[in-house]
Amino acid sequence: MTDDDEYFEDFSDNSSIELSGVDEDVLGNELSSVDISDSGEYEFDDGPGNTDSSSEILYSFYKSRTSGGIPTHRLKYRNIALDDIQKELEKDVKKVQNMLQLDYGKCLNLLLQYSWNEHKMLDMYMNAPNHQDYLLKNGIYEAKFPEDLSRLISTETDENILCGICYCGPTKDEPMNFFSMYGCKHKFCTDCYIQYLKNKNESGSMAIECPFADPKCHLKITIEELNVLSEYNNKMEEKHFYHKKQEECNLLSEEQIKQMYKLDSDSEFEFDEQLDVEDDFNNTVKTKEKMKIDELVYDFHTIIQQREREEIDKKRNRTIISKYWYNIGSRYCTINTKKYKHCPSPDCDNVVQFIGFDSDIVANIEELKRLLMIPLVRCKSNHQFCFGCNETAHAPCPCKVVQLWKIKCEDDSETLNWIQTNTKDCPRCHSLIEKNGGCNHMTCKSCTYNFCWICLGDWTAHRNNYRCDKYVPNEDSDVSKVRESLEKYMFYFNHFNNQRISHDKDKQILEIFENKIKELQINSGVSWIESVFYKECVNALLECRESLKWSYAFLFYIPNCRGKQLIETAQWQLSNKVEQLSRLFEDVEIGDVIKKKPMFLTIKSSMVTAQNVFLETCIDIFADKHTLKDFVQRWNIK
Amino acid sequence: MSRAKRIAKELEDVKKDQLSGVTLEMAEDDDLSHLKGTFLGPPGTPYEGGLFEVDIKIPNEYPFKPPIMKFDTRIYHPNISSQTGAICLDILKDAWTPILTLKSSLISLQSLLQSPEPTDPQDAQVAKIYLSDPKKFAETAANWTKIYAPNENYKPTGKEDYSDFTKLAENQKIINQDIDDCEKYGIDKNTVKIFEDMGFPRDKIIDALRKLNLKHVRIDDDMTQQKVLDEILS
Repeated sequence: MTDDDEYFEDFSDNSSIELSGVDEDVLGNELSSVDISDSGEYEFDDGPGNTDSSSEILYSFYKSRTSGGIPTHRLKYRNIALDDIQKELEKDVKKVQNMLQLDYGKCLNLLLQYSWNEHKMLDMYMNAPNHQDYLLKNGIYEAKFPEDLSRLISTETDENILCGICYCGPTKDEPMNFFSMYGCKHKFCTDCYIQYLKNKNESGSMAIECPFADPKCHLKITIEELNVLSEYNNKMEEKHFYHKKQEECNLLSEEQIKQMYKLDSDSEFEFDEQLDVEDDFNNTVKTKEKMKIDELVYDFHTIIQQREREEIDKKRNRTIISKYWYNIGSRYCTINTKKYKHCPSPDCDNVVQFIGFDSDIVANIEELKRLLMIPLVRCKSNHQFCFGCNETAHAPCPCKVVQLWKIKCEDDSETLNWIQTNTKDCPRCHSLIEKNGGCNHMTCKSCTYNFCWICLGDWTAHRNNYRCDKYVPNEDSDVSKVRESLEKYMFYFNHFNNQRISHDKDKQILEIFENKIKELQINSGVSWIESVFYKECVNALLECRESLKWSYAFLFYIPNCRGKQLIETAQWQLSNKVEQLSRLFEDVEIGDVIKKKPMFLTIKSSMVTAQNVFLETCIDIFADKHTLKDFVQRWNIK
Repeated sequence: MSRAKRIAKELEDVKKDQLSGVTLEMAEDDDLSHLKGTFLGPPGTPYEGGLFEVDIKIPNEYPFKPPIMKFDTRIYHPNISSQTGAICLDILKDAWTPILTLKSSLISLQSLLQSPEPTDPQDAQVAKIYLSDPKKFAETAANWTKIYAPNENYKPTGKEDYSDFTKLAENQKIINQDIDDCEKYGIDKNTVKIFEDMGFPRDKIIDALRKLNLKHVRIDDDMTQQKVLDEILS
């Protein structure tokens, strides 16, 4: 295992063949002969996939399985954005370009046609009796592009010309711009062509064909031609934008402001683009007694300019060409789903690239799953998810258990609908109570009774001994086995759901909190960097709630044994800390946040420690190879 | 702006053209997004002598997105639902390009009546009859045309000869049987096509794939492809 490429070949070969069930010996060997190899030993060649040395190699969560607690069985990955894929793909295209001596965009179209199977594409090309015919069949015009492609856009004044899409034509006084691809000369007005491409882009099409239909023109647009139109479009949009803005706001020109406030016309304004204008503006407000009114106006002017620039940038980020590459990149990810995974969080474009494993014990994800490992990875925006099943972080549950639990919940949810209701009766006065925050300490508004949301018992009994997380079978009642299993399921489902709701409620409270923090920054001059700790605490809290949530599903599937007790103890400690922090968020006054920073950080760090301890306890239950085998059979993992 | 202009122009063009037998009108007054179109049944088919009405809804993105068409007149055809009038035609879906017009779409519908595509049916029941018993199909279709699509201006020529039409159905049946061979053994059509493109006869390919117990070969899986080739050549 020195060559990374070889490794990948192994990987793909294995995965294409149906894997047989778990081999006992293999499993045993894997676990007993844990070979810890230093990750530094691996050398990566500079082929596609390992080009960007700046982005560091990361390891999936999951540290210990064996008693030593030395990290093994970790997935090696790298965080990339879709743009990085573009860079990699561009290299592939360049390689093909060198071989075929065709224009760049044409090679790209060929590769798209063959789903990036370079080998197959070259094979077909070389074996084709006539290259020109072959290319034409794939919608490519062989002749090389001229130097200046911008000539593809021509300004027409001839009244006989008509755009076949909008049925508009130029007149002598009002010339129109027309565009046609280099190979086909089917002219349409630029506005229609751009609209056509945008629509195709929106539907995710790649290698877009010429719109001409009678007879169908199969020529495909190349990236070079797209670029011409994209740039033209940017120019037009910018022009249009400024025109509109000027009309709308009737903005004063710089000269006018200078005149109005009789500023020295020689003094030059320097616009520092890196400057945080918002911050600057706030400072200005703070010390406005000292500031001259003309400087205020100058600041206001820069803010508006900045805003405008931002708005244009936003538009430009989704220009035709960038959207086109975006489509290509995401398609590439879906083709190579073993190597790339999209972050499942909404509105997140980040991609995680699979590199390998930190030891040669496991060869692929399936094997890792069979060892009940969870390859948790983090995308660039710090969203945690499972590389194996594309779910949100579900530790300590193995992927298979998540699947089982989901099926079970779907089956039983109808009968247990009442559990999901958000209200409960106050144990003392029976008034309806809705849970308003993540914390389980409830105070009834009408009778001021303090109780625990989960067990509905007196809260004073909980204060030092928060133990209602543990399922204690009701021994007094003489219930049948079926009834007991249902009760057991309901208990865990209740807790699972409760954590889910708390997670959402916490999120809501924290969003409100965040807005308040922003206010605080403005009013009392707390800098942004000082309040960053708050965000970290929020994320840690939400992640711990996620772990707790899945722990109930996990415990439901674990039979009574010594390990289970350990897990329950660790779980109790974690939930204790989670409740503490959640409580703190709920109670703290906005003004005190900065003062209480040490408190937040202390609870947070102890909570994270508890989380690690908890997760490791959960993993340890599988440490014994016989137990592991037992569970693999129990959960029917193939 | 350009959308309204274009639709208005299209309406005008259809009005001018008397030869094609296609008409296009607004369904409601001053609403350019909801139209009704009619066309004549193509001669030499069971649809001859019928006048078919099509409901046309025009999306906001028109002409960059296709118009949404469905038959108002009930029609007996493999690619048109006999219940709802929904149409299965590529140019009204993925193959649409903005250069196509409402008129050209209606003419395409006309030619769809002339040459049904039973392999990609909208109404599976009708498609089955079309393939199994073309004569019966033609009779039913002609009956439906008389009942649901009467055309006052049509002067019957007297002969009801659909032999060309039924001949087409017979041909399609033969082609379809070949495809059935694939389906019978659960072999992927595209896989067979890979080897057909290399110039091997279909039955030999299917035999080889069956011997190797392969249902599907990936286009980029050269090793397996080589195995199949060896088997075919052996």
